[in-house]
Amino acid sequence: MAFNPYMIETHYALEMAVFLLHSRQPASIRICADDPDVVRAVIRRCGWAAEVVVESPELIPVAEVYPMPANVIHAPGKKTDAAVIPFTRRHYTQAPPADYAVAITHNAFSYKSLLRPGQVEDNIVSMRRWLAQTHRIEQQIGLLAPGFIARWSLAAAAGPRFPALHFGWSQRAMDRIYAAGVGAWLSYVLILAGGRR
Amino acid sequence: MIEGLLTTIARLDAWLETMRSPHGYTGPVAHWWESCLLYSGPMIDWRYEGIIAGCLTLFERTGESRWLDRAGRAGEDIVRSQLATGEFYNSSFQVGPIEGGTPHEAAVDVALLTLAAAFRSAGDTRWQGFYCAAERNLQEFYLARLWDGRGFTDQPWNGARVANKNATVLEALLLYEALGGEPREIYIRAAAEVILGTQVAGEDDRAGATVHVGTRAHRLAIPIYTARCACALMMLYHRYPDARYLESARRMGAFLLRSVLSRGTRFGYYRDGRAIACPVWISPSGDVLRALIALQPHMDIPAGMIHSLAQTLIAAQTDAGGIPTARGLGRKGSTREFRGLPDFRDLLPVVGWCDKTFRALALLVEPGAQIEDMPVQDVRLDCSWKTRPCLYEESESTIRLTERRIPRGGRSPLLYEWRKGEVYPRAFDL
Repeated sequence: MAFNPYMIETHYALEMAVFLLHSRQPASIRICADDPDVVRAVIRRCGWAAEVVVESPELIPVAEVYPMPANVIHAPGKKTDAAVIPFTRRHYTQAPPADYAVAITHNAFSYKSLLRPGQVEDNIVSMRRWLAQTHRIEQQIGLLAPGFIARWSLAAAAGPRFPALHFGWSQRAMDRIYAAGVGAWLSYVLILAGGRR
Repeated sequence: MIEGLLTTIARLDAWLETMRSPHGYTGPVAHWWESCLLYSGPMIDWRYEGIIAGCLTLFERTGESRWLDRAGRAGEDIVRSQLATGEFYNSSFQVGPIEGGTPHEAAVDVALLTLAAAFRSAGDTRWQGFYCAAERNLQEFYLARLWDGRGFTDQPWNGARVANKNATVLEALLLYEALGGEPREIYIRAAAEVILGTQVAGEDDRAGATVHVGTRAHRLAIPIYTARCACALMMLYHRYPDARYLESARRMGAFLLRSVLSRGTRFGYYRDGRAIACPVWISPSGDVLRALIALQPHMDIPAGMIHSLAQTLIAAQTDAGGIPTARGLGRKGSTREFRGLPDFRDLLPVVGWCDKTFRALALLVEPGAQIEDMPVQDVRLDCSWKTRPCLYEESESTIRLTERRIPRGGRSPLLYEWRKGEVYPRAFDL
């Protein structure tokens, strides 16, 4: 599926992922992605970083369109303070050698598999196992958990015929877009983060 | 002069200074459509329109050069942040950090062109840089990517022609022409037809409003957006004195008068005519106030109405200098009046809304006035988040939200903490 920076699950997931990165104040960040649109979406949020490492020389001009961050380089194998793996973890056998890693993926154990069985390739169990090889899992946050979907569905059902209910329920859903605990296990989009073992 | 006007402007200016980073004005965004509470870094959006216009008005009224300096510095933020595509860095306001925001890109053009005109008059050669940046955005973004032959679309991938977004492009093109740019009458007239085509006919409460066609079947009528259309039509009427433009703007004015409430202005109306009671806008009401001021010479707008709306905005200012965004954002869409503690988003002052109050209040300053510097002070206010009682605290350097009750399970009562100027909050548990 083509990356769309405007989709709710995409931009809210990136927001949370970069917030987690920012909370550690890393000087250097690796963006583990080769899709220019994904790199752009992360770069727009990383103006505060001193150095951003991208995965190919062709991605440097993509990132340099933006006034910040000042220093974007291609340095294969370079250890960075942090890494973000945005919907790309299946391209990597292991998380990169960064002190802190934040990975985003889709989760088959979610409502999406009820609507489109077999289409979501990744899941929370294999994602946790993958990240746990190299990092301690310290944060687990889900998006579009069952609580969100229930409220969002009510909003959609109310629609323009019952607009006050529509807008009220859509806001209640959005106010709960991030889920921790059990909700995260059943979320369509999953963010896992942690420090290096 | 309205009581407290100059003090409010001085404190608002001091508050805006607390929201600056080396790259421009920062801060989280609370809005009806969605709120952007995580990314809080610099955004080159419509906040620059109100800040630059307000500063230029204050320079004109007071003669104090610091206002011209402030406006020039804001213009430099913009020029420095223009992308190779002609768009502006992170211009999408509530959507979050992405370029191509509408009407924000056009509002930034309005800011640049207003600034260019002022600098040219002052003999400052920097005007050309501001003019060229706006020209590039108009050519490469609006004309090349959003023009569809009948108006300007919301996005290249969204064909909705939204009235207030066309209105802002229209203003930018008028300013561009006035500075000697290429003739753009075809685009200007078409944008005006988009506005006229969305105006509600009839005599009910929605009469005179522009329908926000981006809301599709909901067909919301939203006063702050109608106000922006009215301002654009008045500007257009002065350039092309077509009676239809004046008549349309007057009908918008009548609608705006009905939207003024004791605590701010009404958010809007549903398509069945029911008034939306939540939220009531506070700082965004600056655009309604500005429209009423622009319309006053052309229709019967009681001076008391302008005075009273200005007083409402002045009274809403906190000691920290910002103006709260709304009342009732936590009950979005409700048709029942909101009672109870304000939501966190209600209290949150947003640069891209406070600029509207700043701009409108500046228009009420009398020539020769003097504005003294005012310090900002710390505030502590009760509010709520998802019905939980909370404490909102704001200082020169921080905005913080904590739960009043200690949560169970060892969780921290700190829900949110943003250090002003930083790109993300340090704490976020909303």
